[in-house]
Amino acid sequence: MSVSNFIRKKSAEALFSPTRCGTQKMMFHSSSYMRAAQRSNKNGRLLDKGREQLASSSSWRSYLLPIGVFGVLGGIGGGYLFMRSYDEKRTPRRGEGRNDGRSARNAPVIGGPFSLIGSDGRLVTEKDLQGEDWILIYFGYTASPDVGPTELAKLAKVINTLDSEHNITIRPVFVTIDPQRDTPSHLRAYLKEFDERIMGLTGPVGAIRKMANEYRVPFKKVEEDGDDYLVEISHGMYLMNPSMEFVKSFGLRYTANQLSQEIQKEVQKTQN
Amino acid sequence: MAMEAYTSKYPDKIHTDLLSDARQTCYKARDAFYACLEKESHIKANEIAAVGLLYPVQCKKTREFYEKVCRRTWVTHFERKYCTKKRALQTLLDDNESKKAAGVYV
Repeated sequence: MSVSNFIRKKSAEALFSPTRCGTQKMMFHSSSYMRAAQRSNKNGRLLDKGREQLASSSSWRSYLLPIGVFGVLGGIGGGYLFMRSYDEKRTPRRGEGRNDGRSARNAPVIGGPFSLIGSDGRLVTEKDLQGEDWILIYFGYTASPDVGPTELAKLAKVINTLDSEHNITIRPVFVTIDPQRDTPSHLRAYLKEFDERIMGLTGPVGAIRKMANEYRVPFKKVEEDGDDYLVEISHGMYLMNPSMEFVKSFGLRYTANQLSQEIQKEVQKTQN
Repeated sequence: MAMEAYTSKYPDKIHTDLLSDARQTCYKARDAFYACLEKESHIKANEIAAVGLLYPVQCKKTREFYEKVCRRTWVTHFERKYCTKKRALQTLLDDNESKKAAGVYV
């Protein structure tokens, strides 16, 4: 539509806004038309010149608005279809679902490389954890009032049970998501009260955050009280096989006994 | 090199108030305070603790000891849990007959 039509449409829309009263609508409508017409005659020459310039390009300009609208709608539609196809790829069809903790693309979505510092001050990477034994990782922090100590006690009990009753060796790993306060020597002192075997990992904040992202562990500082703070974290333990591939995660509700049983099941699955 | 950057940035000290003995002391102090609250529940609570928890002046001593041996963030944390637990218990103990009569599943 041409420019002047566009203007007229806009002014008509403004007239029919709720702030205007009923019967006067028509009067304003017609007078505005006349005024607009007068205006265009006054600036007649200028407008004509402009219209001439536009005339040559008006043909494609008149398509501009519809094309823009279709483009946006197409973009939205395309985006929606893309999201749907992505969701459908991820969602297993009924009967096709896999129950082994792996994603539909047959690759683990949890885990990844890391480069952290052990409680002896030395560098530890994921390669150092690959080997003969399964690994159980817990993300936490030492300043946790109650959940942290409870989970670590549980971890220690599970390691002991599996070792003594089923001859299964599991390497327990504690990764702190509060590296600023959980330094290597502090970690060593804290963890050895639970079990000597628990490996403590800390490091620069960036490295910790990277590993937490890889393991899908969100955490954030809360309850800040001067220098002190608590950390809100999704508590859970991550079972990795000897190749450091993610197998299963266990939430807070698992008791030590249930955990031991589940881990035993997973280990025996691969031995058969 | 990241290692040196890490270790030089944060003082490598041990926070003894987070170790087992200190934790146990804190838990016991907390439990003593809450036991006092339960015991004196018939008395009108006037003192204000963290998170809006009120406690009677009879429990002031246990309160002060509790605040001394536990970190303040821990005290606030336990307070919140306590209040949530109290509210949950209260909901269960409330007389819900009128709600039941109206068909609400309580």
